[in-house]
Amino acid sequence: MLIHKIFLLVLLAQTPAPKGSISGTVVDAVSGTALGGADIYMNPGGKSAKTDDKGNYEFKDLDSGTYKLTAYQGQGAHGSQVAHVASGQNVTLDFRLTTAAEISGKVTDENGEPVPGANVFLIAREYRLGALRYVYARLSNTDDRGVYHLKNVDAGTGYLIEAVKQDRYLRAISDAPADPKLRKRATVPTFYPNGESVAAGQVLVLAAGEKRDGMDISLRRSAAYCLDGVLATERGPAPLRFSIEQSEPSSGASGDGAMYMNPPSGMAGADGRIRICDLHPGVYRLEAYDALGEGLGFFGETEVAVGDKDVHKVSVVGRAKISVRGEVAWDGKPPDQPVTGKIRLTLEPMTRAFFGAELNATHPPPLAVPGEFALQGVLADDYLTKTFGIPDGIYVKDILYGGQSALREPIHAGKTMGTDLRIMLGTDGGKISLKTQDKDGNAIPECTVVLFPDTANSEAALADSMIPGQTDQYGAYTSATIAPGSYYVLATGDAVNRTPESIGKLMRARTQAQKVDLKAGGSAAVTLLPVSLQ
Amino acid sequence: MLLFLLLLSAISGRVVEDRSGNALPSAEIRVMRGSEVMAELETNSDGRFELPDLPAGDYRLEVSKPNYQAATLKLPADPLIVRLVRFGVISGHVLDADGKAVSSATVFAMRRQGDSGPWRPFAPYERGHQALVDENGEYRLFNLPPGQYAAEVTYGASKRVVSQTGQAQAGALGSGVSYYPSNSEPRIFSVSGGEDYSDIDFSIAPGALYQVSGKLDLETPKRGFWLALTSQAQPAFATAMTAANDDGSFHFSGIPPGSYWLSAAGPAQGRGAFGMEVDENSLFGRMPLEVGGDVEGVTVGLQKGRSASLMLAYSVQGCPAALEFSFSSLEDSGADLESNISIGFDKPVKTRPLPPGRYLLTPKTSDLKCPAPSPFILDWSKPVNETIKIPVEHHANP
Repeated sequence: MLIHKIFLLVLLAQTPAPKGSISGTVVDAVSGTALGGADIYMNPGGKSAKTDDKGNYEFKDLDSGTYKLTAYQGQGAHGSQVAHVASGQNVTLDFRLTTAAEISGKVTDENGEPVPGANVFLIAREYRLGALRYVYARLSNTDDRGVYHLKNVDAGTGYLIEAVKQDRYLRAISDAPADPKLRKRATVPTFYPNGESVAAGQVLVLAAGEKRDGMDISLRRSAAYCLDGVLATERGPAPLRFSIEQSEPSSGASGDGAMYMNPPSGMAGADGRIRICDLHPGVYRLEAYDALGEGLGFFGETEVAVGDKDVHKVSVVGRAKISVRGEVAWDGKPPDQPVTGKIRLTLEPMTRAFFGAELNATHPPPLAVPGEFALQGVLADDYLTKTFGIPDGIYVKDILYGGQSALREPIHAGKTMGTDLRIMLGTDGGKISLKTQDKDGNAIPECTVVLFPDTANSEAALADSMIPGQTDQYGAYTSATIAPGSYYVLATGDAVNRTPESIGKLMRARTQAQKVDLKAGGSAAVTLLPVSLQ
Repeated sequence: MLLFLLLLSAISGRVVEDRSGNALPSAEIRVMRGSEVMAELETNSDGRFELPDLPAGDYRLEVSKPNYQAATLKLPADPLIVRLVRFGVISGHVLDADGKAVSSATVFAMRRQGDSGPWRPFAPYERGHQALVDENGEYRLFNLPPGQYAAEVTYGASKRVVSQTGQAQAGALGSGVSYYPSNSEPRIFSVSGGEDYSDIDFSIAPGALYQVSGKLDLETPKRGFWLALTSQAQPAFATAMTAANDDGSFHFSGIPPGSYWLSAAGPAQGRGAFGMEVDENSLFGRMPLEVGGDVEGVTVGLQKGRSASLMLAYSVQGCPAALEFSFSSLEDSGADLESNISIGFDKPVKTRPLPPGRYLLTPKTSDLKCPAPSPFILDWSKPVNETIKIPVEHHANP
């Protein structure tokens, strides 16, 4: 064995390792026609290629290694695959791209008149942090005929469509008449076909490449109410900026992206007084904060319910930025060898984009394991905590904020002040590895793999605790280090995401999944026949 | 007083389209007394509205509806009929010779001062006044108030594309600016109320395209210089833009033949909707260039801009001592030279440092009681030291 190794080394020194290549064809998943002009990006290496008229591409002169290739056609269709290139090997990697769908229609008022300048949102429905959440995914603005076009709609995913007509710039003190009967009626955000809430919206699922026209929405109306109140800091009334938006749907992450809308906003005068009108009955999130950008020092938000009358004396207190002390700690016995790798932590606001001034707090430098850290300048808001780059052999067992688990819950930085953020690392984890094969024992490459604990007893819990992955070109997959316990493991050719449709299928597929008991510090290996999700 | 109150409370009115007299449903009416909104009303499906009971006073109605020009009417009015003028629409396609969409082409609504002034983009950042073609090559200009318009398309490595993406790439069609139907004789679209010009289709079929390359006259390598080629005949938009390399070398491809201004500016502080952001330390270059074949080895000299000194020619008692003007470049150099400037009667003001070229000063406000200047063209092709006086027309009080 030793001799063999020396021989190889000598050989490597004498002649450079032969280079490999990856080539293939990009076709439309539905029609099967070749897609010319598609872009293929390779990582690592950062190379890119374009397909020719026959849909062919090639990357030459590749060192042996693992590469991820992503193909894009237009703005919507894309797909990624992983290839292992051995020395001198020519790997074939074909892509079947699903062309995005489109939705179009017209927004009118109750007289059938077109409504120009309305926002029409595609609303994604996804389980996140214990609940089904409704999040903006795409936006189209109606033209002078009231016509909208929502493009790059993912096929096979259920969406709602919402039409909204609102002023984006608010005066501090609205000039709407005091008597509600003398006010113009408010426009109610309307979900296709004519619902006034997400629950009343119709879920639309489009096929690949489908162009669905005629999704017309007649905007509903209601009596218009006002809210008045004062914006303040802890020192008293203050000329803060404010914004107001309905609690649901909201901005945020969905799919493999995120969309953030600036809600209607304005700025209070020195007395901090505000009067916001043209409100339909509903639940709103009202935010107050000081100047945008670097100066941001105060942030506050409150929920306001508008019923059948004006709401008076609303108070929003912008709280000063807070410091959060934190610790990366072992849960139980530390490992025998010290850990040199660091872990990354980010705090993500649940329903808004980052302010520039909070980035130091929300994106701290890598954290030592174990070690203490401090997040300077966290705003008094709700955040989702995310950890990345966990070194091999350990796993995040829990994240505690104020003693409560934040693994499946947002942290409420404003409401539980002065508490510590503790990232608890477990050393008793293990790994599950698997191979996907057909009935004859042939490896099936590039399958979706899903692991989820058998304790996940609801769709929301399953979505939060599932571990998705993909087998490589040899049909092999190995998980990261995960908590010991009992898991359902399954492989499928279908895509998996956090939508109720997808999670519902996984829930039903438990009977087809293989159950794996992962012992503390252990490993488990299984062979799976990919299943079709129903 | 009582009589007036009764009259108002009994009044109902109508909102109609100016030309046809057709009822306009869903028009919004704000009943104003001074700056106070007394009531907000809407017309029903018959275009009718009813005034609520109002205390005696001086009232006016502010009437608005999307796609129509807003109107104000003083009360009392008999009959109470509000006529709204509908905005115009220009729509069509931008296609290549094979009938394919010319991607990222943008069509602008153009207007000019009088019958012979230079064509300028009309309030291009208001809704409907510029249109990016969609994947089918369709565009639609709307919200056009009464006036005379032309339609101009920019495609290829246009300023709009460069401003938005930072990339200056011309495809197989090259770059260009083109009026409908031709640059030599733009069609005039007259809007007086509700005109809808459809099938206004641009066909982009360039003949020979050429390359232009050369070098900026830089003493030391510098980052952040941009160049623009601007047609002398159609100077409202640069035909093409390109970024210079740090050593000053630059290259344009896909340039149609013609007479151009070749402009350079930098270092740019960033890019915005109006072009590259320059400041008082920026260097500029400008030279005429004939393109009838590939042009190589052009050297563009650079120098700092020079400020013009401006003042108004007359002063009138009881009128503002200074007037606000918007300031824009008549020959698009790719740099953002748009600004506002306040020019007075008593002492000269200096503009920001400007490269040679022609600039348009448009008065922003007009006080009917005071003499007003017409839009003024500052010819800065040859900078001068003297203060330039902007004429102000005297006219009798209206």
